[in-house]
Amino acid sequence: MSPIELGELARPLDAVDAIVHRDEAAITTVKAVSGSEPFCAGHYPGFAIYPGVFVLETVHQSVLQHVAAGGADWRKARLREIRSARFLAPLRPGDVLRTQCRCSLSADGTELKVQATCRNAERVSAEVRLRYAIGERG
Amino acid sequence: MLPPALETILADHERIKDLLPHRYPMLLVDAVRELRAGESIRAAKAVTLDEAPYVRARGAATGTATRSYPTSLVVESFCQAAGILFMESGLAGYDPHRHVLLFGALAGCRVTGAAFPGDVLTHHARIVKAFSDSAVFAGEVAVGGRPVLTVDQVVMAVRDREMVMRS
Repeated sequence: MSPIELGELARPLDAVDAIVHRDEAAITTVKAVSGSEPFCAGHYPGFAIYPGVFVLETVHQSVLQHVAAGGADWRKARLREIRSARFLAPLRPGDVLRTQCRCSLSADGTELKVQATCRNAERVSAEVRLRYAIGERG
Repeated sequence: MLPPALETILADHERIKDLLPHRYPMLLVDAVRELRAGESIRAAKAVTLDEAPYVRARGAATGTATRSYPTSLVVESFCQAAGILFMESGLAGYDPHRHVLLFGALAGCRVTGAAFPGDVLTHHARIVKAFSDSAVFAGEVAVGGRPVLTVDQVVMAVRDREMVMRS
């Protein structure tokens, strides 16, 4: 499944290539880390590593895709807290990041909690927990 | 001869580039305002319309939220300021040609506001705990005195490049 365009969003890169699974409570996306992405020149020169914060960006954009696929306006999902993130193994060009997010919406529909596990092949690369407010467009 | 203020600014820039291996488009600290080795740092980063997130964003925004500077990059910029503090505190025997600075973990990072092109992010990072090859930081990011991000805990580690390459 193709991700929707996040056209108007200020974002450092398009951090989701494809959606491989989505249901009401979860989304799984993939992102191939490419050596031709602009960040590679500067993070780091001659030694490209997918920045840890781009793993956060991949989780964030996966969540926006999850919200959009559920028929809601992704612009109403606002990241409020990175509750925790653990980076266990760095990703390099050629690696494929597979991000599985479990998303639970509060009963009143105003808060979304996300638990994400990011894998590179079978190895867990990062674990991330995020909290969103779902409200009006800011 | 350069006026002393300019000399300080230029020396500061060279020092930032000596300490951080990051380069365009990922060098996200512009100036160090105050540094207390082993304790804390205040550093600044100007957000500009010329940066990748704004080159990428297309069309009319339907709200300001979609044009706020990405939280991921606010965090990266904060971590780079913390990295400068780490290096200047002499905690790592750090060699930018041999080592790489890795983002280990983050906890309790709350987004309390937004930054836009034209704003200056002011980072205030403090060392909470330091080990030989890693350190824990806490702090805030503000724009014009208004907090935009608070960070309970960031763990950064220095690793040998060769080891990362083989991992």
